Amino acid sequence: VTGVTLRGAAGFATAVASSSQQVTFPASLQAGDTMVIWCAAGKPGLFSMSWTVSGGTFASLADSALTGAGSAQLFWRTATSSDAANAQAGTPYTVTAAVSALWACAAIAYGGTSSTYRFDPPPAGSAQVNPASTAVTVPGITPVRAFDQLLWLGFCTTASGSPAAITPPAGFTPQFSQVSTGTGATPAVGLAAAGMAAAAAGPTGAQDGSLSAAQGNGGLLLAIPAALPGLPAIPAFPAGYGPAPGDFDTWVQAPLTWLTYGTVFRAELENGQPVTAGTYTVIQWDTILEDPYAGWNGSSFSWLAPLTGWYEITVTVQYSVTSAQVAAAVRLSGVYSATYQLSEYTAGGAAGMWGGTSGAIVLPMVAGTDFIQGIAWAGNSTTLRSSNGSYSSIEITYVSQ
Amino acid sequence: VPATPYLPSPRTWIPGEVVKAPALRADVSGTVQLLGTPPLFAGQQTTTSQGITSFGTPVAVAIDTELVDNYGGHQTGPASNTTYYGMFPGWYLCEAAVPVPAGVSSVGPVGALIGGVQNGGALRNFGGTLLPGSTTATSMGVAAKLMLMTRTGVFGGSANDYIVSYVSAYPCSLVNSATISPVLTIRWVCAASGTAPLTVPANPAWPAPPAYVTSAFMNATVRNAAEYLLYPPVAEYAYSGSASLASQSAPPAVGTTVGCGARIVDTYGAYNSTSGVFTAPVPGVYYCYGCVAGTTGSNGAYLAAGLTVTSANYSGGSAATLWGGVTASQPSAVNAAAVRRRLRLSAGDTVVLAAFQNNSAGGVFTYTSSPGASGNFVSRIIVAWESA
Repeated sequence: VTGVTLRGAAGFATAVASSSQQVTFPASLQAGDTMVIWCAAGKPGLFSMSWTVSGGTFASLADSALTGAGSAQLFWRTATSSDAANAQAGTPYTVTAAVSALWACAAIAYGGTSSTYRFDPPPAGSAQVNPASTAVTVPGITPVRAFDQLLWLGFCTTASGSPAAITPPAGFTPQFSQVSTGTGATPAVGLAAAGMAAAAAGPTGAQDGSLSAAQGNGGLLLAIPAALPGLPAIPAFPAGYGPAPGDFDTWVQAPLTWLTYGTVFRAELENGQPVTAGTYTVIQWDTILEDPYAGWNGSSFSWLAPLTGWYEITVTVQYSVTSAQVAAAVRLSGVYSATYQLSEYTAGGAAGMWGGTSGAIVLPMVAGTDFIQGIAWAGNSTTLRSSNGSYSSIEITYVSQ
Repeated sequence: VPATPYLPSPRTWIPGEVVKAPALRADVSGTVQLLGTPPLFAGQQTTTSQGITSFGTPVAVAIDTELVDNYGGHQTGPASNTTYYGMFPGWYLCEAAVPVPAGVSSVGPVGALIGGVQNGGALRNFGGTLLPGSTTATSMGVAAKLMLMTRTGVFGGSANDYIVSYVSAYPCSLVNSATISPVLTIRWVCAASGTAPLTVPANPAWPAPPAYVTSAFMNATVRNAAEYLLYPPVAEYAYSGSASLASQSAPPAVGTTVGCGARIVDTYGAYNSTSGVFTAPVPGVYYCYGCVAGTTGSNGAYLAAGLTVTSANYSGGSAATLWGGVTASQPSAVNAAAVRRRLRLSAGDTVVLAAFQNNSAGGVFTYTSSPGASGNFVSRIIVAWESA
């Protein structure tokens, strides 16, 4: 079960070679929803197709894996009130292809999605285009959130005859009936999308669809996380009141969902970093493991509190060079600014070993104002480790209002 | 302080039962009230100049400044500021850090401990790290421990359970400055008893007509969700055997397993005390703490604790040890090193406490297992579910 709701989906396909199509989103689209457009074309070896979308600024997946035997492109954006008005009025968006050809696309919208953490993880590098086969091989992804909405996007293409029938992976439900282009002008294209509620985080494994006949094909798997609720009030449950289902979502679903998700930020330093002797050095975390509230700032290497409350911050630092004392610390900035040293050891380790230490502290943070940086300190200049098993790390967990 | 917190006992719904406001208040409002603002204490020593006079004897650490104490279990006065009295029953995750200045004339090991009275028992303390002090720099002991408090609600009561942070060091005055000071954190993580196993709450939207609420929906969405969140997977085991660890040249990719046979708490029965393997019963982010304690050989030099994780989320699914860092150790003495991480695990993934030691003479590291004057420092593993 997921908090993400399919607002609607529709496929569009050209009957003859064309450079543009008009697509519409479902009338139930609301501001804040996730809008997705997925385009695909064939004609292997002659061109790599690309598209643009007018009517709004869409982010686009620039992924070399999406070109090859066929071409595909993903667009997405957070719906605005104008998008919602367009959907209600049936006002279309124009999708334009770089080359006039047969091609297909889909417009899909989900509600109840996170506006800060659009895809889990970001889709770069997770798509695949395959040579002719009856298998639509789609690499798996590794969501860090449970109860995401999985969206499987697939297409097939053939230079002769009609597109094959696309069957999504087991457990997935088609989001609309497969659409297919006409034939003859350029390779024909079939396009489909299917969804499934994910019960747990973790690797999905490959999610392969299948075709009724061997054709060139490709696909992409996305995980769309549900919106994270804000701080809940203790529900009152008024007596003598006739509640609507939405009232129970506010009283029960929202607060229990909030209580189910506690960890708000985890990151590692995997590529190493120099630390100057005797100075508090801000650790430049380079691998963000999860950040559902989007508090991370990669320029200042800080994490901004999204909710007011008490957080536990844990920092572990690991050094390549020994023979110096080492320390882990955090720096809180905002309403009240201070540096807190969490731990310190006389570093040990001869050649082939390293020093390290870890500590934790509970601190209050004000939403939108206070931010945290991880700090390393060493008695002698050194570098933070860059080997698996000894990465430095930071973890921030919300512990109380 | 939250208004009249209580531990909900969610009702089981039966077919045809009318969903009434008082029942939802008792189960849902009570759960949100308790878990939204769980008992939490965080304090520091910032004004006291606390001296240590007895070499190696655990001393209760004064906590004279409160950051948060939402259930009023602590006071800052000098007569009682070492102690947090339990105001609400349950398991508490306690974490302490105590900085000790560089030694001048005599330097010995520096250790941090969590102690107190649990469930009406005797006063006991439990060690975290115990590592050599320094003649040139501040040293800092850190500790974590799950503590059970069942006799609660009376601040200062002689029959009330309580928690104290201890430090073991050489004669000195503890460091407390703007950037580094003794810190103690105590937070409620789990009821003393509850229902298990359950699944992580799915928290679905409520059905809209023509669909309708059923007793099965209420039991899954209200009862089971509340019971899970009030009594999630939480485990702690301590070392109880007799074994030793040979010297290794460097921390290996997969460290030697330290099996902990003495059960402290295990709400989901997830830890195998024979194999030393914790198997995640449900997916989520888990707080993991490991401490490796034992006596080094005459040339004891270096020690590290690690968490060996087997999960597709780490190292491509192959077992790999996440080390807490190599630290120097005292020769022919009890030493303890710790590691602390939050790990995202899928159901079925495993976590194991691991150890590394290096001894220039090849001597072994013998695990300590029985509490005593120095036996407070015992290897242990703590794993607690925190988030979906």
